[in-house]
Formats: sequence, structure tokens, C-alpha cells
Amino acid sequence: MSDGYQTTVSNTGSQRSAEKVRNLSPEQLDLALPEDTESNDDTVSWEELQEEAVSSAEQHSDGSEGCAVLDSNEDVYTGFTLETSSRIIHAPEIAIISAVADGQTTVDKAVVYTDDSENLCGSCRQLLYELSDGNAEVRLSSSLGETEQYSIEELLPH
Amino acid sequence: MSRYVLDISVVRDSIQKLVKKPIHRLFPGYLCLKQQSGLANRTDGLSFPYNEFFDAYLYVRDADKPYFVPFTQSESPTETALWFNNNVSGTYAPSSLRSTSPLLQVVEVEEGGYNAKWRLKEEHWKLARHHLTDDEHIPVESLAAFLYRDYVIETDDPGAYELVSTFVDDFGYELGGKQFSHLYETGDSSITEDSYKKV
Repeated sequence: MSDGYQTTVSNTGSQRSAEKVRNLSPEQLDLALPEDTESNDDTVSWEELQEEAVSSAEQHSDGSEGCAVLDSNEDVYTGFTLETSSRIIHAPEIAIISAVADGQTTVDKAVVYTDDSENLCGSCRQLLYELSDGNAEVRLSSSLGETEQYSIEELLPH
Repeated sequence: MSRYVLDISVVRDSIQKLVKKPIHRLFPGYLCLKQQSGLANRTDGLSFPYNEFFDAYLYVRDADKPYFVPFTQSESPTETALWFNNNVSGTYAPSSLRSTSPLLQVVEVEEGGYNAKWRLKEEHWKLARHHLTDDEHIPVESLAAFLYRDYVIETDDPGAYELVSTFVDDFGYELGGKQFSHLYETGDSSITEDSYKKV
């Protein structure tokens, strides 16, 4: 914490204090905590998966794209987009390859997070389709706050 | 002068008003650089102390994620999406921002690296409104009430005007000036003397 961060000299006769005099809590501000939105059963929630996808994106220096997939054993695998001089490996590819390398074969849910509104490429859709037997639910979200959810069949109709 | 804090109900209402406005998640970055510009009295060679800014204005205690950013352009935001983890640099470091980022349509990096220097683009207030607020005005009383929720306001005349005046001073605006008028709207009659508590 850095109380006292940058105060200006007032021209108007009013001024805020240099230091905070209180720290209002989420409860006082009537703000739901992230965990308040989670389900109460043992299933990994969309919110948890979303956090994993965002966290994965932020762990990479580019920080722009992340993916978290949930397999049928309720294990979560994550990936971020990796750009090399020869090719770009998309976040869903890395997440799914991690799951497959760990012996998993069925993806139930996936969250793909981007820092803009870029969509899921055709190759990643195909990969998700094949690794889910056509049954995965996919949530596309962005740092713009946009969230849309689809079945993989909606994303790969043909 | 007397010392006041805002009534918590005013802060709550202000958060709800801000969330309903199409303000981009990266708006705090612009606000931080605007403040730096006001302090340095220039628009280039600016430091970008985003960590300190987040601590000063967006920190909320007792949450798994330390910062609450009441800005989203989603029409149906979830609470989870409004919290922000402690890796602020993961969003605002020059290496984290794509060239297509709305923030980089308003500001630009002059020098990269650890001590990166930033610049506000010409007529940045117009660019900010277009790229960061979806061409809408920001309700400045609500913004100020949220930013100053944990601070004392020293004044002899508590009310909406004093709140806005403090914001104007703090962020290098001129009340009624073109930058301020282009980006913000005033006139929230719900903030009165009764919105404050003396401390």
C-alpha cells in the first residue's frame, strides 16, 4: 500500500487528505466477492475457469490470451498464446495439449480469454470439438468485459 | 476547514452508476497518466506509476483480489469481472499492451523498459472519450465519490461542487475547461451536504 500517493495543491479551497482514513470493505460497499458467485457444489465453476484463463494470460509477458479447459475428471489445464519466429501456438492448443499429455482425453468446458474481442480460430475449434466428442461448452471472454457462451457445435457447425 | 468523509451509501450508489456506464477497463491507466501530466505540467516524458495508483484509488480490503475497478463495457457484467488481481503490470506494462489496445489509442510509450516514459496524445481527452468511454460522458460526481471513498475531504462547504473541485485539482483539469467538459458530466443532484459525515 502506498497511502499519500500524490496530492495536489488545491485551488478551490477543498482538498482530499494525503492518507486514507478508512478502508471500506466489500461488505460495506455491497460488493459481491468473486467467490460469492461460485457454485456450491464440487464442480469447477465457470468463474473459476475464467480466473484460471485470465491468470494464465497474465503469467505470460504478452498477457493477451489465455485458456483454461476442464476435463471429465474435473482437472483444469491452462495455456497462453505463444508466439515464436516460426508460428503462433494458440492458448487453447497449449491447454488441450497439456491435458492430453497428462492422459486426459475429454474436454467438458473451456474458457478462452483475450484482451480484445478476437475470436477462436478454426483450428482451435476443431481441436476442442475432437477432444470433447462434440460436447464441450465454450465461453469466450475478453478484457472488455464481454462474455459469450456456446456449445462447440455452435462454433463448429459443419 | 472541517474534515468530512462520504457517507457509504453515496459510495455504493456511485459504484452502481459507474458500472452502468460504458467505461473501458483500461480507463484507470489514462486517469493515472492524466494525473501525472497535471503534476508535471506537460504531456510527455510521463512516469506511469500504475501500482501506486491502484493502491491509492482502487484498493479494497478483505477480497481475494485486491482491486475493484467499477468500469466495464459489458451490458451484463459479472461481479468477478470487476475485480482486478495484484498483477497490475500484467495489464499496463508496455510489453503487456497490444498496439490495438484502446489505451494505446489515447497514450503512447516514448521509451520502453523498466522506467518507461509515456505521452498523452494530442487532444487526448477526445481520444479518451471515443476509445475509453464509448463516446459517453463520465458522471464525475460518481467517479470522484468512488475514488475518494476512503479519504477525507477538507472543506467548509461540503457538497457536489467540492467533490468535483477536488477531483479537478487532483487530476489536473480546469473546471469547465474543454478537457473536462468533453469527458465528464456534472449535475448529480443526489450529492449534498447530507452525503458527508464530519470526522
